[in-house]
Amino acid sequence: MNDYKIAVCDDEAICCYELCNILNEYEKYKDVNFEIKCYENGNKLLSEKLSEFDIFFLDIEMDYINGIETARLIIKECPDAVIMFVTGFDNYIDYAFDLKVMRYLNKPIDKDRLFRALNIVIMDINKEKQYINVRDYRGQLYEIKIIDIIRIYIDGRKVAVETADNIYETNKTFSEMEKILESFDFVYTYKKRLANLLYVSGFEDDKLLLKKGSHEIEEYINYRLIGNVRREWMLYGRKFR
Amino acid sequence: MDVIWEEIQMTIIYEFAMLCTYIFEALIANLLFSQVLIKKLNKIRHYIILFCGYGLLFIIHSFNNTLLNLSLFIVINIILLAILYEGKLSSKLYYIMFFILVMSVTEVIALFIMKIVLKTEFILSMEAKIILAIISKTMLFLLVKSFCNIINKNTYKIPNDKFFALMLISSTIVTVLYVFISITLNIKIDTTKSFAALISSIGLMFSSMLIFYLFEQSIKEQTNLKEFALLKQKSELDLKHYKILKENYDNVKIIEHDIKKHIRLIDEFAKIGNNLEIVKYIEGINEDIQYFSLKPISKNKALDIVLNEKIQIAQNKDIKFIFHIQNVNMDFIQDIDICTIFSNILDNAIESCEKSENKEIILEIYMVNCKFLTIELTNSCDIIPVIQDGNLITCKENPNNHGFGMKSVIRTVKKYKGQVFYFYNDNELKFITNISILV
Repeated sequence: MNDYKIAVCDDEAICCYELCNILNEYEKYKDVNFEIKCYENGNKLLSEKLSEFDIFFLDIEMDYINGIETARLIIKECPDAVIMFVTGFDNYIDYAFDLKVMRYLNKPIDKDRLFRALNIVIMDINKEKQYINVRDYRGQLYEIKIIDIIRIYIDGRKVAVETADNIYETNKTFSEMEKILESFDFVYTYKKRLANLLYVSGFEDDKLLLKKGSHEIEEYINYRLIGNVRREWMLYGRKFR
Repeated sequence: MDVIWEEIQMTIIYEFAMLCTYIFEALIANLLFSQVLIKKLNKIRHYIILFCGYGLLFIIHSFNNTLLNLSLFIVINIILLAILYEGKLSSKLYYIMFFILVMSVTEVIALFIMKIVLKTEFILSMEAKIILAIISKTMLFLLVKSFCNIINKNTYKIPNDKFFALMLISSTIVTVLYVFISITLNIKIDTTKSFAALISSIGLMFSSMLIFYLFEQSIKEQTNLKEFALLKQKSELDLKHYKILKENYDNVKIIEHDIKKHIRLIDEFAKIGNNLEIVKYIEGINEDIQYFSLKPISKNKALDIVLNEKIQIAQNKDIKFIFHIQNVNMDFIQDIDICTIFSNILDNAIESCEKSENKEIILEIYMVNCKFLTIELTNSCDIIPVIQDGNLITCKENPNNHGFGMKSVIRTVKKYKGQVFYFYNDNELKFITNISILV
């Protein structure tokens, strides 16, 4: 549980070295084990077996193939990869980039900031590994990632669990589900409705827009809960600082 | 002799009045067609040809043949549109038909009102006939103008409420003209008075058009002034940014000059093997570099200018200013709007810090869910504000004193489909402004 494989990709050896130093410091501080591999360009990294890695640190400005392109190819092979971009001052991040979670670190790397980001990233990686059993309407059993759940709500006597590709139901009660989802980024939109903030793609006065695959679904918010949703949204957003 | 002379006089006046109605009609046609079609010629030629065409129609009208009038009206209009405007013949025909339809409708309405209100079937006097023509033309103008205002997507469009107010004035003109008719019908008036009635009718007809024209002109001037002010603001921004870059460049020059000296010294320390001295020395150089009073912070010009200015103010007031800005592209927000947002929230933060024991401002800009550009400003605030559902109710003793800055921030953020939320942390006495804008 506490072992993580990290790939660092930067064409400047000194930057790799500096980053590795900070990562080693974090290992001691948090009692985790990092297996760090350094690559001097994207091509070398891409020739490796990518699914073995948990975290990628990519420099944006590299020769042959830049960090953004490398990230695109990594995502293709392992969609759940955690990618952190390390950028110099002169580069913008292309925000049209469709990544689940994306983080940036400015050079020179600020230790506190990296520590904070690692705390969150490691938590996310652990969340990534949690599954839950659900059934579809024909009663067939599935195991889905909790992180893939867009929202849950009471539907008749069962709890409906909505993901990007289907709506399932679970035998668990709503309060049992509440407990399971506690450590995730869910927020109450009604008394018995929870929406995953990870999928929020729009925020209007009284509703959230949630990204479901390639389209958006609306999730209305009870007027009593609007203040709470806003607060939770702000706290959730701080993960990306 | 006198009677003949009077008759000649009256005929001239009647013909003059008719000519005026034709000129007016030409202007209305011009208004309609210029709205829906694109002009080909320059202004002077355009109006000369237009008035020639309608002048011809005026001459033909004296033959008093309705069928001939109508057919020639269509023919001349087709020729006029072909010369004056670009576009397909079919669409031009369509607009001519539309014009004729509106014209006949107004004439029928004018007659109808005449019958209902004045209870007269026949129009006896020539004056009444002409005034009726003037009424129908004024109505035609009002209809065409309303139509144009609806389809107009120009920046110089008259706002609806003001348009109705102007319409009210013009409608009153129509009513006054009916009063004129009833006077000419009921009371026998002499030549001078009927002359005065005709001239003032013509004047009223033109003034109904003139008020719209003048109002549009003033809107145009206002818009130009606003644009000019915006441009001026923008050029001031550019100038300030240039100054920052210039100062930065000069500082770099100084450091470049010193760098050889630094390298030589570090080299000497290294030869002796005194690492501690090297570290100390480099720290010293770093402090030198910190001296940059103005520096580029983000890649956004406007943000840099505002931040540099506010950092300076904060420093002067002993306020600690920390910022962390991810290199996100903010170019989709107009410079002016960036200025509005940041200078207002930072002004508030500085003001609040001044009154607080702790003096600290933290500005962070980052992306959430790869979709939301998020600006989070945290500042010390000892006075507990009233916040409801993330909306700020008040944070000052006198609520009337504030709000304009924040209102304009909210308005600007809304323009980009964004939201502004406020929070207060009672434990740390910190006020948080959170703005998220959809990218």
